[in-house]
Amino acid sequence: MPPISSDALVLRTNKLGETSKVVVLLTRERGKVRAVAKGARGSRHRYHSALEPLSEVRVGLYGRHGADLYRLGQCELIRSAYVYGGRDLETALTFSYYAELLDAFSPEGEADEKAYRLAVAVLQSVEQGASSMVMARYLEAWLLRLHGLYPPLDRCVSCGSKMGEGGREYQRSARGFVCGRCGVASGLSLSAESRRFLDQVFREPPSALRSASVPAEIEPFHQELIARHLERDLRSYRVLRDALRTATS
Amino acid sequence: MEYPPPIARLIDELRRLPGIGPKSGQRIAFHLLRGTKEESHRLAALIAALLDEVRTCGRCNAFTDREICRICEDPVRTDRIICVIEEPHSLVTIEKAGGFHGRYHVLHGTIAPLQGVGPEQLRIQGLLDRVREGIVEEAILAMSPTVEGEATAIYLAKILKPLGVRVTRIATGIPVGSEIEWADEVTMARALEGRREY
Repeated sequence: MPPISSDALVLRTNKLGETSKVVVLLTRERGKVRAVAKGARGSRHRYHSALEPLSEVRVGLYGRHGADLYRLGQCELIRSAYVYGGRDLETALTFSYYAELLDAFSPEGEADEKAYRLAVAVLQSVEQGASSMVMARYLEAWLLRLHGLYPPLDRCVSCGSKMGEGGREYQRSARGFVCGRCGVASGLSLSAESRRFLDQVFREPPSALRSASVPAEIEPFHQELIARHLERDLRSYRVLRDALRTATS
Repeated sequence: MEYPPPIARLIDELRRLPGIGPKSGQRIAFHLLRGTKEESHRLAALIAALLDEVRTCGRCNAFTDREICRICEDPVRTDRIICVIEEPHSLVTIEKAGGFHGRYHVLHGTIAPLQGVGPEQLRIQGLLDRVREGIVEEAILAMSPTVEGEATAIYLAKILKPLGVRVTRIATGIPVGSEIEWADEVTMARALEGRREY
């Protein structure tokens, strides 16, 4: 059977037996898949650094279409996140968060080229010097939007009326922003500055936000939307916050 | 055909060990059956004594059968250099290489955000306490060159440097006995970065 060939991002690996690994890949053509990388542990394995999280690779997968577990054949490194991912603590930890976020938002075996291109663009921006935290907010916003979970910013979710230039009041029960006439906010508020930042996120490529500053209220707002959708918190996010706090205290 | 219950139970227990599947479990069980009673009792006694007799060293967290391990008590070794390692078995690898005559500190893991393992789950406080005693001049960070190992090293460097200790990271590069044409881009780049005067 000829191999399935695809570009992919490595999301994570798990040990399998003494010498192998199961690799979870976000592929461009087939969405999230799992593959056994035989002999991927040990000092002389043929995959080298290609299986480190968020490496962009070109893979050859063996197995029938829709298999639960493929066999990883060729795995050629296109771009390694290992080098620039290790430039500082924040970036190193945020990369794990990106990987978990992409994993959580990618159903197995369903191709989602937009999500793939988004992830690659975000990683390229970080490689070119963008703040990994700004890019985390960018990735969150777009993943939520691609899954239809980001509330519209320009109109009231309840009455549909167009809202002005100011801030936004979020209502949990309505799962969106509401105008003054449609009730009081029951969740977080976003300032006009936050709304402008989000307008920019949804209008510009990640490279345009390299030096942007993110209003602090965006992060808890996104975490609320993510936790509500996934019905759990992401482990890497907790570790990221704890490690950054203890490293600077 | 099903195995008699004592053999089936043993195979089930063996299968819970890392790297052992049903076939290996079966091979081990039949190997034991072909041996003597004394051999089996000796093995069973050693396994039973393992958790009673082995503990982690009160200073470096390596596995030992004493309160303080032999390396920590060795008067010939210097207290001025601490090699920080992920797991107790890394110590054996470094000791086999010879060349290092300082002390160790075992973290028992790395910061692994995807597994939910943060700095609090690692044995970092003991390392900080040892450095604060003022004798340590250098901490060698000997984590694996993986994303998790690198994150742990960066974290440790960030909290150790303010204590006035020199922080170094083990070199990465081409393994001895391998050929350069098979090295990947990342390893090669690291090897060039870490080149030294010859």
